[in-house]
Amino acid sequence: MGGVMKPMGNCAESELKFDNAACDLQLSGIGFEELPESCIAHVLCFLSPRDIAISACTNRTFRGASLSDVVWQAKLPRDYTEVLAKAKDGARAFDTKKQIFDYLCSNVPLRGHEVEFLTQTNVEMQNRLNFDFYWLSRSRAVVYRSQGAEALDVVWGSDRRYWHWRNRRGSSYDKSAYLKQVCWLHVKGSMECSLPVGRYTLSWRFALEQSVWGFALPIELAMSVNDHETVHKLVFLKNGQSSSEAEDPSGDEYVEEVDTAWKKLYVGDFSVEEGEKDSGLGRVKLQYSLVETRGGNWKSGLWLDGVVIMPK
Amino acid sequence: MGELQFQSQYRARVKEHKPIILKTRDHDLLEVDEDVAYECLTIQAMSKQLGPKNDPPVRVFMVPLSTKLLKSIIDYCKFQVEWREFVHDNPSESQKAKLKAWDAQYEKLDFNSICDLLLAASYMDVPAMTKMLSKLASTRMPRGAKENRKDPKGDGSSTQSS
Repeated sequence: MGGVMKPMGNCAESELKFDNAACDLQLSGIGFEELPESCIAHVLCFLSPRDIAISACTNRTFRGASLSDVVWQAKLPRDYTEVLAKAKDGARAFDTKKQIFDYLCSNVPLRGHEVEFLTQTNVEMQNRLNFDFYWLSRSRAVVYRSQGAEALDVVWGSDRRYWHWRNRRGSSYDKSAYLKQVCWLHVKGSMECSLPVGRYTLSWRFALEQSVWGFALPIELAMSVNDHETVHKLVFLKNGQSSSEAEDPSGDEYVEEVDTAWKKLYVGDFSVEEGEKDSGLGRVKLQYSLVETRGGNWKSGLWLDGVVIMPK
Repeated sequence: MGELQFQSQYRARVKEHKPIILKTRDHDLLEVDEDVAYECLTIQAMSKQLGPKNDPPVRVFMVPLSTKLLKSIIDYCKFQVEWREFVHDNPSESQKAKLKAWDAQYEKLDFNSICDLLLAASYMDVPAMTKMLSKLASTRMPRGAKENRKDPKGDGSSTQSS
């Protein structure tokens, strides 16, 4: 391709936006792979990031098109500038939209606002820095959010007799909450954020130690969306089953192999409706809690990493 | 020339229905209404370049496209102009059906024709047509272009680990 450009009418060449390659337009049966980079970029906009990466191997033009800002701008969530503004190191300069996309696919910590909690032990306000995390799924370019355990309100959490805060292999954050022993298990948290319109699920990320005990009674899980309670259920921690019975029939005395891997405890679904017209985004306020205070028995061996919000 | 001045001149000309003549690569002359031709942002840019002082009675632009392709582009532009004129925010059922039928005719084309049209639409800069054709082409992309290559490792297929 190439060739001398023939001017159209009386116009300045710089006014027109098209590739030089396009002007020698031999347009019969051009074939997809000979299209100019700008056209291919428009087509790649509609593919998933994975398919874009595969297409980039076709030839040099495809590779150039796959790196263009047009393609990755379409993949970024609409509020990406606000997310970058809130991100802890999002203020740095990015050369291309692809770099922004790659950055958002990593676990981006968002600079938090101070949240006040009332603790069980005393009625003073505790200021805690809220640590929310944000990331895009690389394959589908959808938004995930999570909140670390350090941002949760854990009753008796600051008492080292009951809870420890340390890192466990596989945890997403610096510190997860480890339940040494407690009879009043009450953990709650809240998050207010903006998400692209759609359906999402909320789950707790937890793990059990081999030495776990005291969880014969089911845990109460609750979730409120925009101040309306939408979920309130009882779930056995060991097998995640909902319970309508008072006790886990398998009981606590039997020695059984405990799966100590990190797992997700599904709470419920929620929808995000569009806020501003045509923005494709909506704000949602979530409150969630994990409670076991009815039985009064001592429990031990639970790790809590935080909550995760995933698109459905 | 300021944007506002250009817009008011444009509106004045539309009322007069000044046609634009497009000369194709096959040496055919197509007469097109100005508002239809201005759907092609390339032509709009060229007209702007001429300016009000050099306003000839008839404007002729050379377009290095075949007559067949240019006619397809002009047809699309005509449809767009009519749609905007007669359909307001809530299209009726029959209008929606008409739009669906209009889009369906492009789905019948073979992949190479879509590529030709896409290149022409991109050259003439008709954004809506370019977007529609790109979307269509993305669904019809030959699998060979995607699969016959080694998947670059670690790029594009990993998701956030739980």
